[in-house]
Amino acid sequence: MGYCINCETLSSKSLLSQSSTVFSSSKQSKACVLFRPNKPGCCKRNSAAFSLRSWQVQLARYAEKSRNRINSVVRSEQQDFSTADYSRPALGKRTDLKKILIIGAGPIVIGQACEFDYSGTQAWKALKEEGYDVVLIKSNPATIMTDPDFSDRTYIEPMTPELVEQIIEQERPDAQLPTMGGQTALNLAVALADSGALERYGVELIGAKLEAIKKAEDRELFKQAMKNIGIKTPPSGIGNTLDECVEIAKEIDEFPLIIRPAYTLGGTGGGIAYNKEEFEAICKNGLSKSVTSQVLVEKSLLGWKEYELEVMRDLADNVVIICSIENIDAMGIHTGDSITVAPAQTLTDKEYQRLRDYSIAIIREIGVECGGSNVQFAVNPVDGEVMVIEMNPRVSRSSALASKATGFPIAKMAAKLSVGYSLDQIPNDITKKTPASFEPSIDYVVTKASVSSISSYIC
Amino acid sequence: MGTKAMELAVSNPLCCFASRTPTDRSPKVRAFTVRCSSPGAATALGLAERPWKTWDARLVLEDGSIWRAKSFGATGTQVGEVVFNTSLTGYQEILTDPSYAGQFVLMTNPHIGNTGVNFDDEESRQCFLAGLVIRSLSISTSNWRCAETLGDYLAERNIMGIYDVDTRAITRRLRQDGSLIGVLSTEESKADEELLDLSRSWNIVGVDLISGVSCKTPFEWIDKTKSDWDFNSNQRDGQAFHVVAYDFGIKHNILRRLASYGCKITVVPSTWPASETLKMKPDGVLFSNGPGDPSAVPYAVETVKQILGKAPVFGICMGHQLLGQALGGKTFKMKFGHHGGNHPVRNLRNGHVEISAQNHNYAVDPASLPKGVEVTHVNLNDGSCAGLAYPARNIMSLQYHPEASPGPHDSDNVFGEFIELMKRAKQNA
Repeated sequence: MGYCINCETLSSKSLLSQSSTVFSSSKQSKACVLFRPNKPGCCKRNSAAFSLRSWQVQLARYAEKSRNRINSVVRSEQQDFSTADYSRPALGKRTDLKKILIIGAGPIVIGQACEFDYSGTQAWKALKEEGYDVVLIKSNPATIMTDPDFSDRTYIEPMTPELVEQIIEQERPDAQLPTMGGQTALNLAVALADSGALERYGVELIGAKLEAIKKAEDRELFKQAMKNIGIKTPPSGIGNTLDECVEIAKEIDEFPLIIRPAYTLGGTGGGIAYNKEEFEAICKNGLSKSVTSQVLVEKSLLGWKEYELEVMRDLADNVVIICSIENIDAMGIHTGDSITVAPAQTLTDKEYQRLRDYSIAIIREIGVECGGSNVQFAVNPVDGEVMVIEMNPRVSRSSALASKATGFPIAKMAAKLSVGYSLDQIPNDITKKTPASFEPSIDYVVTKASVSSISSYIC
Repeated sequence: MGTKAMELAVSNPLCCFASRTPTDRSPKVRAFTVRCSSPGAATALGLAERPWKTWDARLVLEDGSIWRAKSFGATGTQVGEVVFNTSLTGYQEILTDPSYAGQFVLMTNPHIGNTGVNFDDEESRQCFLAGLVIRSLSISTSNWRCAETLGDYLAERNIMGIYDVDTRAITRRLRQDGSLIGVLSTEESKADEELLDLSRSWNIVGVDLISGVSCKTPFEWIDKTKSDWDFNSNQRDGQAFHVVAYDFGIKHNILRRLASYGCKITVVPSTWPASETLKMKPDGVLFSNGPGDPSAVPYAVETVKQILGKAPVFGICMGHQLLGQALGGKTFKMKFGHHGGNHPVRNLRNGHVEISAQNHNYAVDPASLPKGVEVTHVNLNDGSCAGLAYPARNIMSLQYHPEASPGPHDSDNVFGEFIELMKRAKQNA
């Protein structure tokens, strides 16, 4: 704690004395390891942050604020239509937030590092531009985001809820933006919220609320949500015995079926069955391999056309589709590994608009109030049947592709939306004159192919 | 191996072209012959023709530029106004949209023809546009509804198309100079100057294009939206309203949407007298979209004037412009118009931003409108008027296309508002 109160002396000291441990904090009980010398004014604020504050009061303030904001939207919707009122919903930059914590993506998993570094950096720039103090946590030092010249504070720490809680305790941010660091950041946010840490320190989740994250991430909740709005998901069921599995298969009534045992490493014991014999064999194997003798039986969408839509929504409930992406490699190959093209090439307008309507309905039903989401669909190439596969209530890997493809900086916009702006209050990043509430229309086709280094397989 | 193949290619650069004769079909070189279009010419070494065509059509613009391209669909010579459309999907709807009569549509989306053409996506009984200008024509189709390729479809309907033309360069020119008149020709006998003169002697302003696309006799609309494509089907209360729709070049989806909201629709030709319409005692009258200049059809403005105030009225696109004129306002020609499915529009009544499908070259000047008329929608790209209402006389109108097709469904609720308008008028009567 003592470190941060005297920021200037400390930062130079810590950099000098700990040059060897800049990227790891094993020797330190406190998390703060690398940060750049701050401006004197900044120090004052930091030290103030450590004096005792009544967080209860602060929480009440937030609650009131958010109520007001919601009311203002409702009010404007209830306007009397006979009298023209040219005012827009009262939105704009939130002034009740001062310091925002961005959670990065964590360790490098193949193909994951650079996309989330890109989104994190963009978000940082956007928030900085608005004059917020930004604190960053990420466990991977070899990224642009963790460059010492960037954030006011950068913590390079293992990304565990305990350590992040310590950082929150030390930094006392007003809000946390968990949607920029992929699944890792989202999971961390959920863990912190569940443990009560966020409430304890009065940290508000911006970008995506806890409920929305849970609704999108939990298989059952998601299925139920999709049922509510009449969108199909692949039929499935959980079986504990072979008979139960056969019963589920009968209900689905169509091969191929995919069998996933619960709690096995790397999906051991699972597989795709094309007929009854295979199905029984795989189920038997799966049930025996699973620790809880449980398997999930699901209709396989192998070979279906796969599409993704990047959706953005703001607090005024304006929704735009940034980009549609089509996977050339059909269902069965992970999007990250697929060759993909943007915009989607083999959809007629009616089919595309249907996916667009679905995406908008989904983002509203899941309840992502503001920011970007990624919705994945499978379309049967024979009769056009549409099923939704999943929805990510965050900036995803495809968002980076969509940003590059369309010139619409999704992460930057998502960050601005999360601090209260509406889409039409932000200028279009390319034209600078027109608003960002538009759907990019491009006169080229972007193709992404994954590159795998052969040497990483040989070595 | 690789170097050997290179040597072979260097020493005999024509080997791959010569191999197109059936006698010499080694599987290794067959890959090169995929897109050959003029076979049999390669004979003597050095005099061989290219196995693909370089160009066989010209697009001559009135500013003097000549664009060489490859033709598909019909052949011949056509003159029209070149406009660009930024829609990423829906080329079939665009081809069959009567609002494009007399225009060459240039698609900014580079790949056209990927999904072929199907029977469900027609927006009118035929194609009215002058021609299609695209960057790249897909050599194959991939869609479960595809019934025909785009090239065959256009050839059957006698519509000219060109591909392999720098659509981005033309679009830039159009944005800079405004819409241009162009001549599209596949006839090599015609000199460039001749085509240029043709383009300069033709003008779209003041031409009545509506009478060419309107239906000739009234009919009842009975076609239903297929359940697959119906959306937003809740919020209907089963009350049926009788709507008379003036066909200035109406898109079928307007009719489908109204039918989907429970309306019984009679479509009447553009010249149908107002007195006849009022005799039908309609619950509401719709003035449809249509091609060309609203100032060229004073008879239609007269019809609108006679109906105003006697029945609730909804205008779309051309209908909106005619309403503007009928109310005493002025319309003007825009520089390059709005054509595409991604235009943001603010609904001033609730502050929401709607992404809309737009297709118009003319706009209403809101400053010229009388008092009491309110602007309800504004295009956020250039601030132009996108919607009007005159609640005192039960009038509403939109400059863009709430029926979408092609385009987003964000504004579909205005059909519901029209129903509300008719309901209120009925109750008050």
